[in-house]
Amino acid sequence: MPGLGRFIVARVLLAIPTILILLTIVFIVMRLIPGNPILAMVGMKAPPEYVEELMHKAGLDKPLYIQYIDYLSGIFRGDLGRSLIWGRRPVIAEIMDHFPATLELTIFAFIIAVILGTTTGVFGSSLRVIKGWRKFDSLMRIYGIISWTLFIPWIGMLLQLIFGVWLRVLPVAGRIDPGLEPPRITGLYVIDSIITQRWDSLVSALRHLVLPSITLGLVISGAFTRIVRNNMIEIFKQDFMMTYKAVGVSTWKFISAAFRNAFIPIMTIMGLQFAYLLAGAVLTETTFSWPGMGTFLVERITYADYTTVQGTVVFFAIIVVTINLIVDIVYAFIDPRIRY
Amino acid sequence: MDFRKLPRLGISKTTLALIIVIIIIIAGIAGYIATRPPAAPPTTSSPTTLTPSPTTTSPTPVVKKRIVIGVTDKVTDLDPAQAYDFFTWEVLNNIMGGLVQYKPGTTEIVPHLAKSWEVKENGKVWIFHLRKDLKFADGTPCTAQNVVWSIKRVMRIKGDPSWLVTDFVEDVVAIDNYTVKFILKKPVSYFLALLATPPYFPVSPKYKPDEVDSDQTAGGVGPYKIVKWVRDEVLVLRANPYYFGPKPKVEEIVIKFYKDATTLRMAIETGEIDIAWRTLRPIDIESLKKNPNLNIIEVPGAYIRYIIINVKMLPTNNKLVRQAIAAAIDRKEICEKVFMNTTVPLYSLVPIGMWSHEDVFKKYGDGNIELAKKLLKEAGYSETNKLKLELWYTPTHYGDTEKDLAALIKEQLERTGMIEVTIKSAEWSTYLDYTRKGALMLSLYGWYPDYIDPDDYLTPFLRTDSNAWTGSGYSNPEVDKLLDEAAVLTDQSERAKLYKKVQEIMADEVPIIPLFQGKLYIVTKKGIKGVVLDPTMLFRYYLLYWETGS
Amino acid sequence: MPFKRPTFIVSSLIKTLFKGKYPGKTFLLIGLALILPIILMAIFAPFISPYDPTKSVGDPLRPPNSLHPFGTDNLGRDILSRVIWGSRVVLAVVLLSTALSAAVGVPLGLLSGYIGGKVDRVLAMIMDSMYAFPGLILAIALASVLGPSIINAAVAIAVVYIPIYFRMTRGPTLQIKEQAYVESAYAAGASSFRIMFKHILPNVVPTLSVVLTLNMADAILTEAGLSFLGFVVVPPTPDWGFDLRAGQPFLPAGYWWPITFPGFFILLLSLGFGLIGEGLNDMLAGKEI
Repeated sequence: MPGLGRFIVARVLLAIPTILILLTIVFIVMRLIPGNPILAMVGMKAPPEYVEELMHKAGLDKPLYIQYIDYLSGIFRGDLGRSLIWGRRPVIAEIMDHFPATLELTIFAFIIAVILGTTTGVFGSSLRVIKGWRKFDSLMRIYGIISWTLFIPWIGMLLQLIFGVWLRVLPVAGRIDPGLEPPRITGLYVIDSIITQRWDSLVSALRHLVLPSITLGLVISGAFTRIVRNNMIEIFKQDFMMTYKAVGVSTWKFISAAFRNAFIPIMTIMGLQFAYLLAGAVLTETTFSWPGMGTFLVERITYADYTTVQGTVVFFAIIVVTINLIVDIVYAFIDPRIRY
Repeated sequence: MDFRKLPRLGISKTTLALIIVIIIIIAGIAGYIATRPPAAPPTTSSPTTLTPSPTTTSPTPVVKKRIVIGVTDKVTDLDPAQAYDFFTWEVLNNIMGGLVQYKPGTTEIVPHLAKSWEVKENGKVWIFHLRKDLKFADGTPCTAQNVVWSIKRVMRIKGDPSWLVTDFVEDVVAIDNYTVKFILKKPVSYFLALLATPPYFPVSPKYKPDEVDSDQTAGGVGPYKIVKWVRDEVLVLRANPYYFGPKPKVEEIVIKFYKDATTLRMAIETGEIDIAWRTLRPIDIESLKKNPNLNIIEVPGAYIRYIIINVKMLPTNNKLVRQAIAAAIDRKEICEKVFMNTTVPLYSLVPIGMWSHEDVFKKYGDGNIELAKKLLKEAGYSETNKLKLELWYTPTHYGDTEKDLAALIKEQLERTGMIEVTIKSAEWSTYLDYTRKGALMLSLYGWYPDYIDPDDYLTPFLRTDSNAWTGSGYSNPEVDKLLDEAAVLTDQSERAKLYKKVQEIMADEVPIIPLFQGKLYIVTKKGIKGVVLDPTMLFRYYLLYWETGS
Repeated sequence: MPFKRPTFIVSSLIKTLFKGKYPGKTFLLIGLALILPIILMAIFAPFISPYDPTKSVGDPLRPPNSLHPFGTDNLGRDILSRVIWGSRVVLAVVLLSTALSAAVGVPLGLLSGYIGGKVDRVLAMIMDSMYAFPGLILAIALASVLGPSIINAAVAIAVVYIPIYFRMTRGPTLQIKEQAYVESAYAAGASSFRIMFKHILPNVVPTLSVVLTLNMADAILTEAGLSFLGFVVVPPTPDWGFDLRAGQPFLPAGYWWPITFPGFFILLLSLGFGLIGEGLNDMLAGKEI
């Protein structure tokens, strides 16, 4: 593959300044927040000199540019530093405590969004083109629009109300019944409980996943409907599809042929929606008290825990950039013209 | 994107791309698993032979050996050198102990690890004689050297609460295996109260000597020991066989950490847990009171809420203005409307239940609009020349009722017709920073005591320099003198007289307006006894037991 | 006659809007039907609101009844009044932030594309980084620095959406810059400013209108999200997202009305803008596909 290697290298190199820029923006923004984490922890009780001493110990009284350089050099060594509050645990450990929860939620939500979005998008577009069902297509489009305009906390709360309070069939908050957590292998409760054959853990984890992933998945599916539909219609307009139609293949073969060709671009664009998924996760987690990165990040921002917030943002950025990178590379692999 | 290329290249390219994507994902997952920190070290435990508690109260004797407590608080660090929050201190009080402790149900200090002590040099030197039968949870003996090592460790590590030691203790030595001598920087009459706090607890030698050991489960000399600890999930305690004191009636205590008050509430409602401790919201307490299977026990807590007033800023530098605010506030309405009576009105900084407490602010009344208007007129304000005030609150640190508290206070002040209130908010660290800088006119705050003594409720607010964190700028040399004197006197009734005077001055000058005192709520299944709560707010798990036949 | 033209344009525009046949018509009209009442509600709030939304006027937590059609909240405030007045906050933040992002993003994109070279590449890279990053999180970080207020929230949200407008104008600018007629115009002595205006801007306007409306729908959700997290208003100012959060603790006890009504209006407003955007998209694309 001529140029693919060069393309990959070029894109990876391009990813680095992107992450650096984000890091810098977050660093600046966080330092602009008045107050500091040491103060937040002991400010009320301890004598002022003591607070100064703790701040000095944490290196917070050094000039800003030195703190910035220190932080950057730490990043390059792979060291994200330590939290500035409570037990001063390493940021990586704290992130790893909370990331699996968000990952599990987003995976399930993504699956639900893909299923909902693909079916509505495929059937809406196909049946319109083949059978001329315009109204059905419009209906599918309306579904798409309504779902992305839903406010996540509102839908979440309505589901909590109906299934948790009135019907009492599903739990309204948390990730699992405390005490039922499976031994930690991947941190994803569903997988861990299957591996260790803890079926009560599995049931509890799945029950707690239902409402939050439906909430998030439903809202994300709206964007997916549009993506699928648009791409399918593009395919349908192609000459070769007209050929299929003229030849008279069965409806089902026709739809699946179109879908197979639209599949790659659809998946790649869906991958790019990952950033939206993370943003949506913050609101979902807050609504369902889901112990993931979203609630964790917001909490640490309010305590001005610089290192943890910076580390988390870097982490997010790396993930988003990596996924975009994979998507772009796959795209370029398919279509050599993209590699400039 | 030109899709015309795809069909000519055939399906194989698609499959190829898919394979690449899958490989990358698998590589990612493998890399991810490789980066995770090792799992928490397994603790020394034999698998439990107890059956899990059923959700109905069937009288099988096995059930009585265990109580499950649900909380939404977190344990931050299992290390007294760093832990500085209420709930972790409670846990530490159950797996460790100090030279002295509070007699349950009172604020009286009695011997614990030490069986007697002497005070020399007018309160500057304290000598403690330890019991000879002290052992850690693994059976190793605890001697004076362990006590000294633990305290010096706290001083060395300089964690968040270490100032409770370093501010007072000059040096500590082991005179022999069972005698500890403290040399203080200056005489402190409430030193025993300090000694009862976790930074002074002896810890197992297994603790890392020079750094914070957040997940260390070796404990100290306490009625329970830790057998399982999974951060933010569960903490399991078992009775410590080497404990010198009376054995706990319940063999095993399981603490489950819930993510929020709603799940905690549902857990106690469904019987999943036996006890729900703290943090339930007023609305939850209201609903649970109606449940026939549950007992709600309430006690006045030692937790107080108040308004800090900046006395250097216009217009609150005018005493009449501050007094008018004190008159217009209706504590009864606040407790009823915002907190559904889960709090009680408080008329002094010293809480109800603490010796020397005086209802000094009662003279202003509650919602006394007449008095407020009179004072405002005297200060030169009127319906056309309104007093403009800024009221600050912090939205998350004190719970989600805070915004309602601020809104109600604004309404109450504006009932005078001569005040206009603007509400402002800031997140916790920003809030503290602004406060310290003296930038906030009126700010809502709360206070949990570090040590149970009126000094901890008055000095940090009223004494010059000690109150620097409030940014209020209040400074009265007479008050300083009274507080300093009371801090060294040993006779409680003498001290009480001085503290009463301080409270009277405070009620006249109004640098702070006490609002209410929190009640502590514990929700238990019917049949659980031994719940002893007192102003120390320490929940002693080792006093709990199941009523026979329940 | 000179004065007849504007009114003529406006009236014929409205006539075609309703009577004409064009793709996207249904979406457009439904969307307008959804947002216009809410906009009117915001404008006439002082006249139509039955009570002062910031004061307790009834018993706390009463279900919807004849006195309070939407019920009362836990402090006894009328929820209908709070919903009506809340529309002002939402619309203010959303309109302000959209205007700000467009006002900054569009010229920035034009300039960057026009200048080209290193400056353009650097700026584009920064904008791409911001675009790729989850917007809500950036807004949260900014809002916590600035403190809760309507202006600050609008600024925080505006910053998040600037890259969209930037990308939207930079692309066409880069393209058109190469075009022959631009080069000839430049050679003929037309100022660069004029070129940008005359040739590039008109190309961008149709896309801009679609982006603007869809952006507003998104901004409504972002504002509600920020408000939900407490970064927009302070009590007792009513705001839909904030009231939603305030009502959540009362759900387990069965009090459903504090959250249902504010949330419903968030849906109506963002759905309305979303439908308008999709309708415009169809209309400008020429046909419905």
